Parts: sequence; C-alpha cells; structure tokens
Amino acid sequence: MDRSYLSHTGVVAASRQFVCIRPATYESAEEAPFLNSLFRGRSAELENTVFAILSPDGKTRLCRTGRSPGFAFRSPDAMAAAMRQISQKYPGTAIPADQLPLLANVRLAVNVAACDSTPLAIVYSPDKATRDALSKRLGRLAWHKDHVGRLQYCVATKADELKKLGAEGAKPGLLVIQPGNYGTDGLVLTSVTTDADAGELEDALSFGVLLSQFQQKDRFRHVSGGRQLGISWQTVIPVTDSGGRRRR
Amino acid sequence: MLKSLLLLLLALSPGLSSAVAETPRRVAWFGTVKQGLAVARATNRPILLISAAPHCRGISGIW
Repeated sequence: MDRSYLSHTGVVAASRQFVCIRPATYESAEEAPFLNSLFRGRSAELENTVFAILSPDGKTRLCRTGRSPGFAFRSPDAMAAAMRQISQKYPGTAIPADQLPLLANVRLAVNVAACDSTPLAIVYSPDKATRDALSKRLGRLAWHKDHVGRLQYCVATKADELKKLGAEGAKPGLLVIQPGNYGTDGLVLTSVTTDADAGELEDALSFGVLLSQFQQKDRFRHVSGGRQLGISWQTVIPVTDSGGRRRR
Repeated sequence: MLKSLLLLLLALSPGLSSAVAETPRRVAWFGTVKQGLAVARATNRPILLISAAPHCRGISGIW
C-alpha cells in the first residue's frame, strides 16, 4: 500500500468528502470478484493491492485504476487536487453519524490495527440489539474530528473471539486494544461497559489513541523477525499475486 | 501499574482532546466493500478505494 500518497496531508483532507473503502485483499471470497473487476495485472488474477476512485454507485471509474495511486497520479499533490475536483462534481451528504466504519471480524481487525499502528475499538456483546445500540453511539464519536481515522473498529459477538487478547472474561461493552506487533494478539488498554455515557466512551477512545505505543516498522526486520517467531498469517482465499505467497 | 498512572494523569488533564488532536491525521476507512458501497450510495459521495493484503510474505502486522 502506497503510504506516501495516502498519508499526504492534502489527500487526507480531500478524503473527508469521500467514502473511503479499504478491503483486505484475500480475506473475503465475496469481495474478491469486485476487486478483480477493477484491476487485473498480467496474470489476470487478483493482485495484492487494487486502487480506484469510483462514482457513488461504485460502477464508474473516475481515474485510472491500478495497483496503487501512483498508477493514476504523478504525485500526492496531483491526487489531492483531483480528489478535490471530483468531490465538487459529487457534492454528497454527510456520512450518517451512527455509521461505525467496521472491519469484518476481530481476527482481521487486530491485524489491520497492527498494520496501521492504531488502536482497535471492539464493540462486544452477545446480544445484537446491545451491539447495534453501542455501535451507533460509538459511530457519533468515530467521525468526530478528534478520532476520525485514528482507530480501527469491529464487533465481537462471542467471548471466544477475545481469547487472543486475554479478554475472554470481559463484560459486554467497548474494549480498546493495543494490537501486538504482528497483529495476532493484543492487550486491553481500557474498557467501558454498555451503560457508559458518551463522555466515558469518548475518553476510552482518546485514552486508546494516547496510550497505544507503536514502533516504527522496518519491512525487512519485521518479516525476518516474524519468520523467527513462526508467524504465519492464514488468508481466507489463496494469494494469487506472484509477488506474494502463492498459496495460503 | 505504569498504565494505570498514565490513565489517572490523563483523566486529570484538561487537554485530553487537544492531545489526541495532535496525533497524525489519517484517512478513515470502511473495512468492507459492502458497508462502504452502501454508505456511498446513501450519501452520493465518490469512493476512494484501495485494497491491500495485511501481511508481507505471510508475515502479518505489515501492509
């Protein structure tokens, strides 16, 4: 993923007028055909990364698609300028405040949080109505200027999903997690129960952002260190990019 | 213990939200195509999409 573009101040600012979607490649059989329809490399198989800017219905490409923003834009500044132009053409409405931007499951969310070096907020309850209510309340905070983009979010429905975080005994509510370096485990930084008020929820997110600690990752050291530790991420569908692992 | 102390100090600090606001700004991503497309259609906003594999040669924790 091309971070020089996606962390650029102008691109981040312009992204606030977009709906930004970052599916995890090879982690969903349902999403793979859509991604593959946007861009195919020489092998015609799904590539490790896919980049696109699309119309609101997801059907029209508004820039050249490719593996990364560099396929479409000569610089992050050019990308930001194009995004500003596109958002003028599609002056959409605000994202509903109760739409919590979710990752698909706890296992993937811990890994993505580790990749991004952000804390992870987990809405946990076996009861769907309780989860939905807490997600809506949290959504209002997730889009606040202080928190937007600074945490990952997911829901957990069973205590088992929290085992690798040492939190299988947690009470239903919000758990804010520091992901482990390899995204296979984590540590609860703080938690609040479902009866927490808006201020307590907000503080929990803020504590997570401020207390989480991340080391700068060097790709070579990270990969060689992971091999020594026996880390082996199992993808949901086979990896088809020749630059990555051939099979899960 | 250290974290408990930090939490206490942060709780007593009047500048909690301003301290958070000083951390780097980032793109806010929907993690699934389904939710992202539904929100884009509902809001008529254009879509910025990038998919990435959350591992490098099978080692997780890095894009």
